[in-house]
This record gives sequence, structure tokens and C-alpha cells, in this order.
Amino acid sequence: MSFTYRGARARVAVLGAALAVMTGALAAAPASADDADAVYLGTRSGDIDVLGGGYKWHYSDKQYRSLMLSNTRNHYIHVTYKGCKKWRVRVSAPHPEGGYTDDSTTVEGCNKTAVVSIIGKLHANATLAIYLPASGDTRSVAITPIN
Amino acid sequence: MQLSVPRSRLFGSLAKRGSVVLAGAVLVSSAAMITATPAAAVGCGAPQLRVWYDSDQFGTYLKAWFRTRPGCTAKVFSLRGYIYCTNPTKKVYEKVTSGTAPVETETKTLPAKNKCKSFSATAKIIYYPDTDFSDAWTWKWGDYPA
Repeated sequence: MSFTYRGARARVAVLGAALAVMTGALAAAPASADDADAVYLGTRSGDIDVLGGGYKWHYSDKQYRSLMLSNTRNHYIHVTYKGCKKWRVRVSAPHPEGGYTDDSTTVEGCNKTAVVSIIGKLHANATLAIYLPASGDTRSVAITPIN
Repeated sequence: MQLSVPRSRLFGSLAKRGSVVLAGAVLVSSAAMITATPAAAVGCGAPQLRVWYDSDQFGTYLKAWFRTRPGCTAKVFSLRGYIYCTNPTKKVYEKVTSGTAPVETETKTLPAKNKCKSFSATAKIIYYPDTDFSDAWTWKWGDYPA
């Protein structure tokens, strides 16, 4: 639950500092307001093309190495779609203590941003998928870890 | 389409049973109605896809199955899951199960990494009396479904 709360805080922080984040992949910045117990590693961003044309889903994944748990990478992911649809974003990743977990959010409307977060293994990919309930279409990307 | 045939047959037998109970005692029939209807809604919803990477000295094997959500105790008319290899496109899994939750489909080993780089999956669950949920996943070999 505290993780979810951090996710909500991350949303506020990122909205304020979106431009600063975009260039963050190169430098390991000090821990920010997102996660005081973690080291910021950078941001991976890109697009997911679900419809094969028109607007794409844009994601940005801020990655942190946990200072509290070994072998742990935290992902805070924002996804924005400028069009008007009902869509769900789901992220899954292997958990540092075994197995895997996921987190998902469903949004409906125009020009919406959804936030998902997950605790993953330090050296593992996260799978980020967009799902359209109306048509059943789904596409995913593998987000690789930033060193 | 195949589903509708056994389903209506089952409804027929349920209705028959209901009328027998009604003839016997009104109290029993109302208790049966209470347990029959709301169960599907509580802690159930869409099915889950689970995968497991199993290793031995010869390599790593990707195994997959579908299940009801933990905590669900509803009566499941059918839980059917499909998995496709997306590159190259080929159906690699189709299993169905039913019964009182928790239920899960048979576990199967999916193609090796050199045979299939990525997968997509769909599943549909139908609860008694007539509620269904679907979900879909995609992922790359080595990663986890989302």
C-alpha cells in the first residue's frame, strides 16, 4: 500500500518535472521525492502502437534501484493516450523474492494519463501492455533495465 | 457456438431441480437461490494467466496455464484459454476446464525460445448463471505476461 502511495506522489512530482525527467536516462540523479529509499537510474520512454495507425500510447518509465531491498528495481510508469477510448495498461515483472506480480489501471475518456508501478528484479525486463476491452486488441513492449 | 448446447441443457436440469425443491419446501428453494446467484460476483472476475520458467541442465522451459482468481468460489461453466505464438503465428495452447472455483486449465510447456520469440494469449470465463469475463496478454519469451 505504501508503494501505491508513492506511485501517487510520483504522479504529482512527474507532472511538475516532466521536462527534467526526459533527459534523466544518462545521469544517475540523487533520490528524488518519488522514492527516498532508492537511487534514480533513469527513464525509458517510447510508444506502443495498438491500432496500427493514428495516436499511439506514449509511456515513460522512471526506474529506481532500491536501497532497502537487494536485487530490486522499482518502476513508475506513466502512459498517455491523446485519443478517446477506454483502455487498460498493465505492467508485469518478476519479483525479487520469486514469482511475478502485475499492476494495472483502466481509464476512459480523451487525452488521459494512467500510472502503474511495480517492484521488479534488478536485472529483469518489465512487460508493459495496452489492452482495449471493446475490441480485445492488445500490444506490449518489453522495457529493459537502465544501468 | 459449441457452448450453447450443453449450457442450455444444464439450465434445463437446474430448472427441473428447482421445481422439485419448490414442490417440497419453500424454505429450501429460497436458500438455494441465495447461494446460486451472487457467488460469481465475489472475488472472481476475469481469469488469470500464469507462467513459470522451469530450468534443468538441458535448458529453460516456459510453462503456462489459466486459473480463476484466488479467493473466487463461484461455479464456473467454462474457463477456456488460448495461447498463440506471434512470431511465427501459430496456436500453441488451447485448454478448457469447468467446476467450482478454484479451477485451472492443464499446464503445458510452450515452444522453446528458438521456436517462438513472443506470445499472445486470450481467455474467457463463463460463470453460472450467465456472466462472462475476458482478458488478453502479450509478452516476450523470457519476460512475464501483461
